[in-house]
Amino acid sequence: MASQHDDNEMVSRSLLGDERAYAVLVGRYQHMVFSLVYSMLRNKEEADEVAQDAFVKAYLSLKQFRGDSKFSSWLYRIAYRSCLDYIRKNARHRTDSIDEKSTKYMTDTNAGTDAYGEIEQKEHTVRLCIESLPAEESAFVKMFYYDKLSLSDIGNIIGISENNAKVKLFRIRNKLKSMLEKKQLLAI
Amino acid sequence: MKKTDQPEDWSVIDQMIENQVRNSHHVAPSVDFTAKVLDKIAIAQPPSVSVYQPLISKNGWFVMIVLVGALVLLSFNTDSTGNATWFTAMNHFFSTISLPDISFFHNKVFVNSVAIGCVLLLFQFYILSKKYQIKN
Repeated sequence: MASQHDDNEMVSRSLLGDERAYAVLVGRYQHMVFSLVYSMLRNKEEADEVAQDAFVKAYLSLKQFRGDSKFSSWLYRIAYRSCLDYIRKNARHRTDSIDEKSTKYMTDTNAGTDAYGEIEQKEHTVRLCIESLPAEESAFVKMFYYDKLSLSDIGNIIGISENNAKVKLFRIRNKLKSMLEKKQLLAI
Repeated sequence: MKKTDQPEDWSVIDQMIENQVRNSHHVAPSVDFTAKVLDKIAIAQPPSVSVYQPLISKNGWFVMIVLVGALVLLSFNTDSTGNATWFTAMNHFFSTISLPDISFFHNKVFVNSVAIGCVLLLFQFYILSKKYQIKN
């Protein structure tokens, strides 16, 4: 990961009209932004489109980046909000429930007959539980468990305080716990 | 199976979530992602707006109006200016200026060509301003 100073240098050059500098920033953060958006939308084409739009929005409001926070956090905030806007405008996400997916998976495969199949099935169910979370919670899980961002950073990105971020994490864990208990992956 | 009521049980859930989150992020953005972003930026960038600035500013017009108004008022009151020393001095100054002999230009051909030139110039201004408006 590039240093904050390097990012700020690229931002300054982009503001002076150097498109190559911004291309460097896009190249540097495209995976990060895309995977955040993908975790919220669960559709590659849509995620690609929304992530690109987030980069365009960031470029057009680059003057507003003061440099007191990390560029990646600022970019994440834009991507997160762009994604929420997209979901609001296209309210058709997450139509199939976890149970439908899970049942389909279990009937499609003959998993569960041996030990390897059982582990695979468990992993798949856990993944489905995570994927069945609402977009905001999916993004939270991605930022906390995958990007290893601090609760303070996450709060800053999604626009809540650190304490509220803690509460949110607790609720998400509880939610996943009860889901997994329902699926009998955890003892009740 | 392990009981999950204890506080340390979060680590079990955390581990399960983390493993799956790590495994589920293999999807990559499109190959031409950067190029597409730059294309979109080129389209989305607001065009440079040329702000209209008048040739003579408001202050300039104000000064000119005041000067012209003062001269007009002075011209009505000829008695006061006729004997004024500054007016006599200015009259003397202007009478000393000798203009070059321009009798050569006192012919119809020259006047007509200047007039046609002026008309063409104005026409060119009109065409250019129209083109400029279309461009913006």
